[in-house]
Amino acid sequence: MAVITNNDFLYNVFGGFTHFTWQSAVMILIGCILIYLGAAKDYEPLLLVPIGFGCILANLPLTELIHVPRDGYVFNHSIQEALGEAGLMPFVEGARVVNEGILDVLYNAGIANELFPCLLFIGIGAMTDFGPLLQNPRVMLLGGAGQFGIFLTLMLALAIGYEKLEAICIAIIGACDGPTSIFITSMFNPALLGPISVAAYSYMSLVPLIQPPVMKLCTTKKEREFIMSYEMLTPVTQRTKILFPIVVTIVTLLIAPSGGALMGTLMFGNFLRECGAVGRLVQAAENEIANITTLFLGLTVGATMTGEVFLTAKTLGIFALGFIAICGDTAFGVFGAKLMNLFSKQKINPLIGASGISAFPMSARVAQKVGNEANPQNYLLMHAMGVNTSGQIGSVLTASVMIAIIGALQTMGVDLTI
Amino acid sequence: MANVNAPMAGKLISVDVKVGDTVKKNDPVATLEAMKMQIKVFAPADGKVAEIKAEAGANIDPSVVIMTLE
Amino acid sequence: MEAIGNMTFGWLLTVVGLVMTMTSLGVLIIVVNILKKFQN
Repeated sequence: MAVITNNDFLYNVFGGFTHFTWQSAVMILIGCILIYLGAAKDYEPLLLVPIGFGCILANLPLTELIHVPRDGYVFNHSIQEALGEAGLMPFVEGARVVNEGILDVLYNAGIANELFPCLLFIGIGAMTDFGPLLQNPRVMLLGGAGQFGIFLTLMLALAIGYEKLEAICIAIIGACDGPTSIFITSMFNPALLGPISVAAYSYMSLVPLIQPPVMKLCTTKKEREFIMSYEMLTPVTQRTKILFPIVVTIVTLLIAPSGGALMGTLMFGNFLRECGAVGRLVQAAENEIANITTLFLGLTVGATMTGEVFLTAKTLGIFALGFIAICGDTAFGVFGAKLMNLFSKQKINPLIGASGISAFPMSARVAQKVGNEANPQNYLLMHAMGVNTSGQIGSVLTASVMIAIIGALQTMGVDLTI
Repeated sequence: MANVNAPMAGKLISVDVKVGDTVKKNDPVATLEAMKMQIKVFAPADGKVAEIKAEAGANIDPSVVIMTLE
Repeated sequence: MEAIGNMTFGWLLTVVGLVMTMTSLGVLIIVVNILKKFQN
């Protein structure tokens, strides 16, 4: 009977309760909100539901499902046992030896090495039709203008005191592209994976709400009413569509080789689609592989959202800056389109500039809706689709270029962690 | 006399007026689906529907006349 | 290890990043236009 009344014993038997902190409670609540937003409100359910559940799992105490990306752990592999017995354990002072949890396995398999976002990109490439873009290739410039918000946010984040590599991860939310954000963050600052991917995916789903007011603010009614004819779209043959992904791969990777993982997989997926010979692979890429990866990615990213990382002022800052990034992208896109009109004979409606982000096809639909509201005779959808797909290229390109520049700085021996 | 052309390539979901209906400029006259988005086609001018030339379910592009107004 | 100021880093990344991004897109537009010339 002495054992039953022992406080230590009770403390350990009911460890789930005794280790429960207010942070656990808040994080579980946040997980539930994410699940609610996904499942009941239909905001990016494919991602927010697994992220929310992963968040709940990771914040229940003592589940030992995930330890990375935090420091202070050594995984208990047999090789380490052998080394330990020989007295050779390469032990970090104060590190805890733990068994690898199932979510550690997923994390190390696909997030630590950036594999999952790249697998998703094959699927995205296979789903994207660059036809409308190829019909009017000069709008590709707008896909670049739509990325200016990234740099605006980068400067803001640095100005208010975020570290360099943190600032990059936050700024990339402005790419409005989940996989790119996750790729960059796991590369430069994995501790921020949770807040950044949640911010990226929630703002992506809010694009139809965030963009219209910014678009209206940046244009006059007369500009919005401008009708774009479909005559400026010149037809493209299948051969051009097949050659396009190859050309993009070669050109962009010569300029920014370190973007190979992102651009290479995106364009590979698109080539599968356009070459027409591998229907089964296209099916697999856009269904099975994309679905499985989304599931693993969401669950694991959600599980990185532990209270000690998420419940900080930094997270609030990330959400605020991410919002600025997307508003900035929209405004810069619209002004980029106006700038193009100054130099070009064929005028375009500035609204389509706002679609130069990676949120596909939501952003093109927004341009169609806002344009159609201003003038019912105005059908911008196909033009906006072209800009929207160029926004996907633009965001991946910007990310690749940033990786290239940082890589160059690091090769030169510049320390970016201080 | 005005032709209502398809504003963009897509699938005609429905024609929302009948022959003989009077329509005003910017009244919705047909529904089109393009890029998985349903888009209303609006009348380019006031008039009366004279003839409906396209059928629901057909794939159309800007060269196709959906209906004529008079 | 050399160090670099936060804002210097920001401007460097912004200017070089924008120039490289827009140049790549410009090159892509030219290449696509060339491709389209040959498509008949």
